[in-house]
Amino acid sequence: MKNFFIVQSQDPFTDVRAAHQFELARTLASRGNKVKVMLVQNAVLSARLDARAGPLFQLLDNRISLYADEFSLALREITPSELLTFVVPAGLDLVINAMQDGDKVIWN
Amino acid sequence: MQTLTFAFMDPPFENERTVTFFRLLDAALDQKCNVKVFAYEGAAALSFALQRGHGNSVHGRNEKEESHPLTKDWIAALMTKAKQNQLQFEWVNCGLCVDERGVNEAIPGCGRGSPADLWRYAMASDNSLVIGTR
Repeated sequence: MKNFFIVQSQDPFTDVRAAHQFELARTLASRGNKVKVMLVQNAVLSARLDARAGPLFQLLDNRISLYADEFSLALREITPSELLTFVVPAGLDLVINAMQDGDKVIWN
Repeated sequence: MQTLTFAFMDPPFENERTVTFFRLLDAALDQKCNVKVFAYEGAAALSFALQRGHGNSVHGRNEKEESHPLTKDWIAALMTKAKQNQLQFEWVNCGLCVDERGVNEAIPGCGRGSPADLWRYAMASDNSLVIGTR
């Protein structure tokens, strides 16, 4: 089993390939790997309570940990209370921690 | 103390990825990591010494008031931060990419190299992150 940390910058509303990227995360998790996904930049838009965030819910089925970059949220005036409950606001230090831990870190 | 390598290819002033990239470098220094950067394609211009700020007549601001962010200054600030924390901060620009864009004049501390440096950096690091442009 390996640890994967995916930094997701592409959002499913404007980037068609984002759906495939979520699928990759789901597949990695379904094969027993530990997967974390951090939404950054426009990808945080899909974490809003009122967003049609189907792909994010698919990730939940595989117990993937989901985070949203606090800075990207602030830039878009999205408060933590407006996020889907399973998305945790966090700083980019999580990415660095994953690199330090030897995770395979992927930028999407 | 760990060493992390980052490869980046976005130019200055174009994409939010550039800001996120610099935030990652800053976070790495905060975590007391040595940092190595291989800048290729458009990112070869991030350290271009002749970048200049400008005023904004629409906003009615002069150059000083506008305080236009320049990536060369961000790099210099990260170098200073690394030095203050006794960390290593290395930056190599892809030479071919530099030549293509005519951005040879890099700020002090930023070198000229080749993709072989990315390999060298990665081999000498605990982990690497490649931030590609789609």
